[in-house]
Amino acid sequence: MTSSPTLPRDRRQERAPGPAPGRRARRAKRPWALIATSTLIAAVLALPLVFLLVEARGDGLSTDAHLIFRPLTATLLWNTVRLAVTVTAACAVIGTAAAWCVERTDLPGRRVWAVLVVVPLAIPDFVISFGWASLSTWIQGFRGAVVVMTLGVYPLVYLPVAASLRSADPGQEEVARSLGTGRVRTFIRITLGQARGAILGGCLLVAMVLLAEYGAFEIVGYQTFTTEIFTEVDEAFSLPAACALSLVLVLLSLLVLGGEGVTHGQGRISRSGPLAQRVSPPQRLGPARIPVLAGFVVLAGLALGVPVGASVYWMVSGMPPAISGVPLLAAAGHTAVYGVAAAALATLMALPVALLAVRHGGRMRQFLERSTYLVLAMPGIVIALALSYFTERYASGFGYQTTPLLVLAYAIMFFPLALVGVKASLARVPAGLDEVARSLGQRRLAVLGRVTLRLAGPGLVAAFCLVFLMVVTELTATLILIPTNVQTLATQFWAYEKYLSYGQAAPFALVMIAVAAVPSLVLGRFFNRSVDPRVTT
Amino acid sequence: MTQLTVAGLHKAFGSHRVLTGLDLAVPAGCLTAVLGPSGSGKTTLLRMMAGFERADGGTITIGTAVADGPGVHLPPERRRIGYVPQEGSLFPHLTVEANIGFGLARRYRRGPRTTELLDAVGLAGVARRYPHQLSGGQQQRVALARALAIRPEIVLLDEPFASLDAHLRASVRADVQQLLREAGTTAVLVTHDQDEALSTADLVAVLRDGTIAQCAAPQDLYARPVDADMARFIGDANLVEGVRRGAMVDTLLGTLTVEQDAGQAQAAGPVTVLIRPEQVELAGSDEGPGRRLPGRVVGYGYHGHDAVVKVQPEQDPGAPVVIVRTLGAGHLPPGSLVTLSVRGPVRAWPHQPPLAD
Repeated sequence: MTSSPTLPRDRRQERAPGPAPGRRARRAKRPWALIATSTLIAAVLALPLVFLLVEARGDGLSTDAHLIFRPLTATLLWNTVRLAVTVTAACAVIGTAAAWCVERTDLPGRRVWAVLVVVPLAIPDFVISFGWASLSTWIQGFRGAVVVMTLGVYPLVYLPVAASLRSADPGQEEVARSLGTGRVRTFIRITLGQARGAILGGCLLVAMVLLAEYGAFEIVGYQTFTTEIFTEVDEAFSLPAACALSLVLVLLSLLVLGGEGVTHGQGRISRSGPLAQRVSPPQRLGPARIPVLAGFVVLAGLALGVPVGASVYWMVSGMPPAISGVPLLAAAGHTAVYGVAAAALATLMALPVALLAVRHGGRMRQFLERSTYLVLAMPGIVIALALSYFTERYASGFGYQTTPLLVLAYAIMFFPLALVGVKASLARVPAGLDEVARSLGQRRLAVLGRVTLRLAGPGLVAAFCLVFLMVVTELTATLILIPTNVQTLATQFWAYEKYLSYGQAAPFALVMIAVAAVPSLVLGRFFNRSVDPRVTT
Repeated sequence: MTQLTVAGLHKAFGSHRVLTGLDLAVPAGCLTAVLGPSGSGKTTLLRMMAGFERADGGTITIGTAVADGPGVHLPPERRRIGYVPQEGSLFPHLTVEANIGFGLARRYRRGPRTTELLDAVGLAGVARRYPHQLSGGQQQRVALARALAIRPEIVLLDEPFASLDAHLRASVRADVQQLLREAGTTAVLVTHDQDEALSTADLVAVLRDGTIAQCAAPQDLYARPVDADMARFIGDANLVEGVRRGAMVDTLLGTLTVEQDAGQAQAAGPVTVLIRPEQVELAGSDEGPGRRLPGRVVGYGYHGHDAVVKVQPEQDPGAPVVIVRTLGAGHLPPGSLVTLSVRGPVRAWPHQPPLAD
């Protein structure tokens, strides 16, 4: 031990961790364990893409070209793109407007609306589609797809925009007003500027969901790449064709993901400044509050009321059962088990990658983190296809249609969602706290447990809930990978719906909504809670 | 005895060289201030001492152990450094008590050491509160108590008073000074505030161009700066040109005595002369010219305990304005005629090119 006149004898007793400095001074240590784990995770995430490419090569390039360059592809491309553009624009407007009204105005019942506008996220798109299509024949084709999808996915814009408006510095708006900028121009130049990253990020999510959606389009009879791939696999059993179309779909997703670069320019978040944050007084809506309120009522009615109402109506109207299926409880149990397992796996996988990205910048690590986003370009159907193809061809069917493979598929599919949530919650923990903890003699792992994860806890729960929610409402990959003789809520609903047995399908829809509503309420609470200074920091 | 030694420390961020061969010896039991303007690299230096940043070259020795050196980088948790960041950085999820006990082994966290420190910083009454329920000054005191709890070899304070209100700053500064003295802890304080450095520290190291330009006790630093730039940086300074003749120097303000110093070998030639504002005596214009310099008041700042008068020498309108600090003079409206004289010996440095003000 080093001797020092300033230190009393009993210091060893008081301060347990570690020997005195110098005894085991080591070489500079990089977070190798973290890098190794993250690399492994990135490799697992890359599996579906690798399988897809291997599979495409196996058929030969000329076969692929033949399958890609045909009129059907052009039709699918046009259908997919025009739908994506229309719905994304609609969601951007609705989501941003709703977020601004809830976060920044004196809209009556803000707290209630904050929850109600998020709940449609908990309703599977195919249930919304079912609700509308079962009531009206007007909801068909392109028109139907636009209405159904807009109502189903606008919360994906609402949530990030609301969060960014809540955390943005209200001082900027006040300064703009004091400099003589009017209300409207302040909104455009300052408020929208503050939320721009969030809006673009939300739009990106919307576009990706649209590329991957199957069930909702199948019901309204709208043909996109995903529905066509599903048909090729499920009905035509044409793997090469499905594979070729998947390649185009992945390319399309990559194109959309290119937009990620635009939203990514915000860099590392390092917060400094006083702990407490000022909350701006809400803007007065004045006479506009009546139409705005009416708008919210209509939005909630269309997005929530119609699907729930239709389900209740079909359940009560007591149509005779058309086919037999598994009991509700059994299906719900399977759904819950898959959901919890996949959510836990995805959150765990996201943790090292997020830690690396947030705490240890650097080019290689950034690359690693970015590479995991490639999964986003893989719609669920492609991931399911790639995994089932692989187990069939290289593992002689071992693992195909088993629970572990399904859970792994879910975890891969929703990894980016988990990563976003985990990263955001870790970024909220100021790096300075980690440093102080280390200077107080705590090792990296202890700091992680005692400080970082404790503070990031609510965010981790949110990430878990988000993945759980997505698994509960997932249909496409589940239909391909689910173990034989097992039904989840979604697949059993789908089986009934397919045979137009609405009365039997409706209870499954309602239970799905109920099960998924729990995490979405937790999510809503979490995003609302950031006002709590203990969480804000 | 030296508690912390920094030798030949280099650090660059990309092409921006922050520290270029910095040397510093921090004596045990002292409060040493590292003083430098914003962006001079003082926080970088502190973070390297704490082990948060790696040195590109050079060594840092804590006690007798090399913490940074060729092939050696002791991680922060093994340096026994108490670190108090600018904002306090209290753990928001822990109470005051738990914050202070954070660095202790589990069984001591709620033991006598924590209580002792709570009492020492006078926060026993708020032990169960959370950081956001404390005032800025209280947060800063908890941060210090938390750093002291582990009985560190050395405490590093990064502009700990900068985020406090002016009226709080003085009292928190005094509290911190007293706590450090009582604990007998060696401490390094980083600041850009000269007043803070001069009034708080036992030793002030001025960081300039990536190295320590001068390290001395506050009195020495003020009275005997190494060069004209340093003189200007520490306190107010009149820098006038003169011609040296042995022990005397001819200036605008008369022929003055040069303070004898081993470093001042040059006996003749043009020099830059430092005259502190409180060395200049002010008198009415009727005192008779004699050896006094007549001038006209161009500025008057009243500070209660003293006043600062700016005087433009009459005979030479191109000469720089002379700053005078005076205790006695009543109100002097601009335009008043006064005469100036200089008291005591002055510092002089061989002439340098004119310094931009």
